[in-house]
Amino acid sequence: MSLVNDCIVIDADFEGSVKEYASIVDQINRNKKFSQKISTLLKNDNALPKSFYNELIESGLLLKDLSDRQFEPTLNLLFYIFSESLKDSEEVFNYFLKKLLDILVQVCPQTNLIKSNGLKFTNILSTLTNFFNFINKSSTLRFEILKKILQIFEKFNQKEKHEILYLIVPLADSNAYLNYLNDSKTSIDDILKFSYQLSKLLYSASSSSFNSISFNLLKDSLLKNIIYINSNSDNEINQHIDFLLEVSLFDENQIDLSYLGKFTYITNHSVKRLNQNIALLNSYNADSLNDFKTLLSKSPKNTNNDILLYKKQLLTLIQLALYSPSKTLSFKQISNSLNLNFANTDDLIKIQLILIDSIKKNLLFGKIDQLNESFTVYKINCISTGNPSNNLDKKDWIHILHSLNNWKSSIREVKEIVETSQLKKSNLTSNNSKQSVAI
Amino acid sequence: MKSDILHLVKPSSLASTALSPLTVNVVIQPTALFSIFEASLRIQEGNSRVIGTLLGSRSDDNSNIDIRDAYIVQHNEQGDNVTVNEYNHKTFLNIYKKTSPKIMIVGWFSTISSLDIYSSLINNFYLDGNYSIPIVHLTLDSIDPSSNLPSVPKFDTYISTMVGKSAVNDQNSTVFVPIPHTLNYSSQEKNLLSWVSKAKDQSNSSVLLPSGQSTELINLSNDLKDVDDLIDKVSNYVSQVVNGEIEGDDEVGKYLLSNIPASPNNLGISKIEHLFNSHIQDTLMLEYLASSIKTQIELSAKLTTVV
Repeated sequence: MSLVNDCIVIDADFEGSVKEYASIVDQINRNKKFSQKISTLLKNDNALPKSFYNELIESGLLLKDLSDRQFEPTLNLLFYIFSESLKDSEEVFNYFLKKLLDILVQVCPQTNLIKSNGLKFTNILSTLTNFFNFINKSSTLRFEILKKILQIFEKFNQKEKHEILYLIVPLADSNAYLNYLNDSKTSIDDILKFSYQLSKLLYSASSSSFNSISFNLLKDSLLKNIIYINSNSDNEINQHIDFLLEVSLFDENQIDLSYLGKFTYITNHSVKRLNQNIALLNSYNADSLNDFKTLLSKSPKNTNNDILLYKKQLLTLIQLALYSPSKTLSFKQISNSLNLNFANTDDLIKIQLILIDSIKKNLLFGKIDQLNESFTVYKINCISTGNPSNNLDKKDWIHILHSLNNWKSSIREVKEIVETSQLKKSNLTSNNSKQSVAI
Repeated sequence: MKSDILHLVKPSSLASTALSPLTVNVVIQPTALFSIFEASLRIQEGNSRVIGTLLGSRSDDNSNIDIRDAYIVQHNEQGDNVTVNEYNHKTFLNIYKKTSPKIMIVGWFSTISSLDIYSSLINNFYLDGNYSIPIVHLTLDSIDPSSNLPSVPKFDTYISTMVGKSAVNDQNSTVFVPIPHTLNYSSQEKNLLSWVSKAKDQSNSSVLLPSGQSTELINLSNDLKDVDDLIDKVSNYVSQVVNGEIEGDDEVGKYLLSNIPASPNNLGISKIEHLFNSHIQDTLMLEYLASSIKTQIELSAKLTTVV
């Protein structure tokens, strides 16, 4: 299998390409010393000496003086020279390309504020993504490039990270990085470390609120790190769990916290905050709204406690929608389960706002009928059964079977309607065509 | 769709302003793909590929490219040279422009997957010296290299950028940067494709469309039957879980719990019937009016001849 994909088409022989590159370096140096040195090395009758590649690598540092338009094409040419001359020697190719990647990180501007015509960090990013795509998908170099991309982003200060972070979101979206790393046969340890690094980077830049991508990535990465990395010390694992619990409990968009149920066995350890959060989590997952409220009132005063209570109300609403025999819930039913007063106008508005928010947060799909004061549930996106581990028991499966039977009878009725209409339509169409003939 | 391409920023040779997005999104419509598949069968002797123009639209900032149609352009490969029939290319473009004035050239296709010096030369023809606007190159791979027989078609998309001093010296060196693409098709096209896929299993590769009946209603009826069969399968699984014969998978159970409230019962069967019948009546009324207009036109044509 070839080391690289044939994406670079050069209308010159190898020597011509090297001379073209050398002339670019000469242009920066304003002398012809580099060309002369390279020409001498090229004249070597045997295979190209190591010093030839070392000269090329060293010249890479000079390329930072090129304009933003010249930089990427020159690096493409340099990549071509390496890939063409070292196509039979993967190890040497990887060695020199890693050196070139180091140089790219080194010359990358450490600020998003750029001078006109000067090298921008997007030029480096674009060059790295080009290299990534040029290299065969099974090459370990792909992992090296992804690490370098993260390294570049980590160099920026907090404010600038915030502005440019959207550029690496495609890497985290739908766990795209996992596809790349699996293809390049990266070890599980390296994948976990990379995902943790990526999630921390996304988390650090989205300080006020998580978007769903960064949160899910962080959650997955922490869970996997806690479960799979055996080399972690207990203290390190507890730190991971503490961090995950803190961000999950008090993030307003994380309603289903059942995935954290597996950590509730941890008791009597030194981190006080972790103990308190585990108690809150247990109650959040298993207790009624009233019991949870009582526990929360006894907890240390925290501005985030209101967020947690509101999340518990949403969770209670989901459980009501899930287990109610009818899929149309009256506002009165909802107010009873949320401990609100149906007769009070403020509470009535509150019910409707909670319903709107549950739709907005993508927890429930449904229709609010203000005239009849009811809410019809179409779909429940967040399943919470009300037991700590969030596992399904027999009553849930019986509920599913009953609903499936209802579905079946409804589908049959709809099918009958369609078939009757089909018959009616074909009769009317044939009458219509007869009429046309008569005309 | 799983892709092994990383696309975080577009090549720096492409023009961009401070506010324009840094990525390029390519959307391919099935009509264009069908034209390319068809083109792949028309290879000329002496050539290694069929090439053609991709038509469509691009957003003002060149970040979104929609490929809607394609046509073949004659070319001739000889030694290191390639000749593109520019007259043929411009004639076809003008014909397309007459029916869709806003349509524009967004790229070109080739019916082989490899990229070589011909690709670079043809790409230069389409770029016309302007590297700042992305020109999409679509390659189709429909032959299995090991058996040399037709295989499941695979296509890739690229945008070109410069290498070395190519822009300065006007050389024919090019870098084809792979970019991801998405296929976009409507529900009507999906229906048509379902008939096409039925035809592929027949010995004569054809299927007879039902005459005198609405294909939409037949499709709907078939879809309902499929849903009914699926519910039977799922019910069977759930019954086994309830009876303790097998252990239920919580993920499957939660998925079902999430989706089962969306039963047609929510709307009410009588309401569905009413909505459906009134829609059918509207359709029939339109069909009747169309048929009346057609008859009137035919009558008027006959009367003109008589007079």
